Amino acid sequence: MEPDNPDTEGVQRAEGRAVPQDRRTGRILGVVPNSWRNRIFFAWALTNFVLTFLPVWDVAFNSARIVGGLLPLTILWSYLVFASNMMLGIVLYFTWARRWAQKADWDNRFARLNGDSAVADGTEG
Amino acid sequence: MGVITAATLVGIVAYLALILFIGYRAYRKNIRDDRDDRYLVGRNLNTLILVGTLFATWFSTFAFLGGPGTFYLNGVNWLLFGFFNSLGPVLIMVFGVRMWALGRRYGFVTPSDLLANYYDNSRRIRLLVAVVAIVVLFPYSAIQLSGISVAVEALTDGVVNYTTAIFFIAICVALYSIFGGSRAVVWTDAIQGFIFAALLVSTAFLVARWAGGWVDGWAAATATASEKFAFTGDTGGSYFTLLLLWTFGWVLTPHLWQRMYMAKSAQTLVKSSVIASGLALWVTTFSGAVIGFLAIGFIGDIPNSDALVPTIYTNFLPAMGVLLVIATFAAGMSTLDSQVISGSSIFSLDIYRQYRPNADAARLGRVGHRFEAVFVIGLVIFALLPAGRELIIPLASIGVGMALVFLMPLIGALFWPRATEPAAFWSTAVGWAVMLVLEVGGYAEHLPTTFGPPAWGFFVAAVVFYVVSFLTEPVSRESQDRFHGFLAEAFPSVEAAKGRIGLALSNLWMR
Repeated sequence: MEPDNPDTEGVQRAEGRAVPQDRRTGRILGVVPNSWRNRIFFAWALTNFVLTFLPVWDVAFNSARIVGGLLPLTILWSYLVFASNMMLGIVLYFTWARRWAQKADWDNRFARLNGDSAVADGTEG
Repeated sequence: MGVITAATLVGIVAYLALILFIGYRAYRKNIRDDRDDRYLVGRNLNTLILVGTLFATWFSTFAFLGGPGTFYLNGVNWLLFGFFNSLGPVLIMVFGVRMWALGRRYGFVTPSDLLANYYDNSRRIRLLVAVVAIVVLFPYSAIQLSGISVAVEALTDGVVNYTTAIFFIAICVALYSIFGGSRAVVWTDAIQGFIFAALLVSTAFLVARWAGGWVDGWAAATATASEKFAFTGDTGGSYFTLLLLWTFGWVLTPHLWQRMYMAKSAQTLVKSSVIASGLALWVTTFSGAVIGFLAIGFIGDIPNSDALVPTIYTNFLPAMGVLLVIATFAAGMSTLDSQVISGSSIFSLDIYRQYRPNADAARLGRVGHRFEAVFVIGLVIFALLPAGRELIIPLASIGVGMALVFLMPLIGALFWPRATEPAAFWSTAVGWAVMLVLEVGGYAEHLPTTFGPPAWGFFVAAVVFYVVSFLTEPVSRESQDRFHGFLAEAFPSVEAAKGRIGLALSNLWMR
């Protein structure tokens, strides 16, 4: 997801100042995002995970009854949750990933122009 | 031999000739002894080709044969197929873009490159990850061979038997992978992905028609076997296990991991992520579900559920046999060739080069070709064994499940500077050992839940990773700077990115 390292870290590094160790630790245990916005996305994914299990655990939406002539209830519910996964991807893309990737591409172009990229000059990884 | 069987054989030969021709064109375009060109298509894939190769590489024969067959056999217990294929591609935005940026910055080609490099150039991590990666690839590759051959035998009425098909396909894949490299693989992937997707969607529509229409078809299916349309409530553990391993398989399996490095740009990768999620959900998993579930209502018992789709066509539209075989070839070969190339890069760069550090690019290329030949021969032998022939879904899951041991070290490299080299090594080693012992020994049945070996292995790996990390020293400051420092600057917050794009544009103009 969007970087959790605060952007001020990049500024600090660019200015040659040391970044405190506790600011460099990224996500909590490498998993839980630090920013609230990213926590919402993370919670969205976890919620989908739990909702998927409602029929699996026989808590709800677990039936062979056909709903509205469309699909049996269990299948319909599951595909609604799966569609929510896809929506998560679309929302992530339009809220930040597109612009975020654009920035990374500009940086990469500079690295190649400056000879900082291993790919540009063919050095070993 | 009937007309339809003859037409099927002609179709197979024509298709293989087309694939070999593409392989030859790729061979002519390849840059000799260039590592990036051979294994990563020069890191230059656009969105269309990247989506094609992600889609075709991920969806193998199991999606076309095993997928619908498992819906037919196990009913809703296989619905997780839709979950991991909708969420898995989204992970490319979380993990894949960072892997891409690091790969381009430091020239990484294999998963070991990234992990070993972060953990202070650890030789033992490089070798361990390489060995696990090859073991991950092997069973998954073997089922491609067996899956295609099962379909060919069924659709040619045994004129081309299973064994003949195995040898024929192996030779073809070996030829175009060895000579065409990754360029041949991704070009053919794009074509194969389209063929496979089109046939799957068409099959779903036809099956709905043969079932008596959408509403009547579902009514007949639920009336025939209502127990297949609701969970029993005691399968949560196995559901969780498969869901976990297949979701993360989208970025952790070696051949998919290397596709992150292949993207031309970060934008290409994030766009592909969104498109692949939609295609995977609706084109592959929903079509497979429709085929498998509706077949319950109008297809009687069949001895091998993997032969469901061929059986449907044999009964209702034998003339489609040729297209079906081609679609099966497309699905299987596009995964198999990617795995062969991936295994070759891992062996030559991560294993052979560790013992022959002075080997030049030409030498490494020759070693890679020899590995490909040996790998394919091994696959043929395995596919001829009973286990390789009968267990399409379990074998695929075993292979992908083992890739879960890469998750914790990858999290350390991308998100958690507190991770340590001993933690990465021991979590991988212990997690993998737990999976193997439980899988081979069959001990998972005696554990208190229905979680499968991959889930147990992953839990153990995660515990080992965190405990050892807190007991040992983190990687060097240099490594942290090269990874976390670089990523923090490469991917700042969105607001900062907006400003930096303007700055970058003006700087570029100034140059």
